[in-house]
Amino acid sequence: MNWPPLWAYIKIGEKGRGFGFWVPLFLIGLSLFALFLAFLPLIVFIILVLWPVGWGRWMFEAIKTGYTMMCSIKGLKVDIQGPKENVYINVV
Amino acid sequence: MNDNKKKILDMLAKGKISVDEAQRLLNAVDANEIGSKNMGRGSRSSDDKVKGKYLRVTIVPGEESKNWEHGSPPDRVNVRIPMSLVRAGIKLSSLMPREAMEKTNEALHEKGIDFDVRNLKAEDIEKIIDALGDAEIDIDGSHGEKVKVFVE
Repeated sequence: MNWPPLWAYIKIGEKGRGFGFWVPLFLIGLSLFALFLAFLPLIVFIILVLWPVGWGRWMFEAIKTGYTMMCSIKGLKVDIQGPKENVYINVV
Repeated sequence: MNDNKKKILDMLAKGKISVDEAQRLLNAVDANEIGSKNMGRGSRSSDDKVKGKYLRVTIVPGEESKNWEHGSPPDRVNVRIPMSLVRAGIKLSSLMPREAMEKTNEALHEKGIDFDVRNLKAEDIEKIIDALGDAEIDIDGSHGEKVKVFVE
């Protein structure tokens, strides 16, 4: 099973003077999971109510795809070096 | 170290290829070696390819950009996108509402792209990803900048 990424390293700033920091994505993931669990009965109810209309299946697929995209961000690396500032993002 | 790898490192040392190109060639040589080993073991057919893991986009400003007169010179860009994210993004298109799909189709037609987003199906995604693995875009800009899009 795929899991969401745990950390992201972000470095932004002027050339030679930027500062980098690690973002604990696992904390954000845990918070979102807790929120999801809290709202799960409501979500299931809405999906069941809207299923005959077709929107229920759409919601289910959207949640599934959203989770897949969150897990797929692992390995994303963006490195942009401009004339005045640099941006570096690495999701691990 | 086999002959192919030695040739690649030799070309890199002589400056005939860049570091990125050498890395891609070495990955391709490794992929071929893995493919031929698996063929011996019978676990992979000859039609199977080693699928790329990342979509890479690199933009390297050229020498002329140092004398850039049109505002700020172009940035040096190096982006690595996991192929699983590309797959998930393509699957996301199937969730677009009908009205959004129609607007997207209109916008594509205006640009001269005769493609219907509604025809994009989940089973076609793997074929698109496989085709993307073979694609390599190499653009030399008018100001010397080099744009490369490839899968590794």
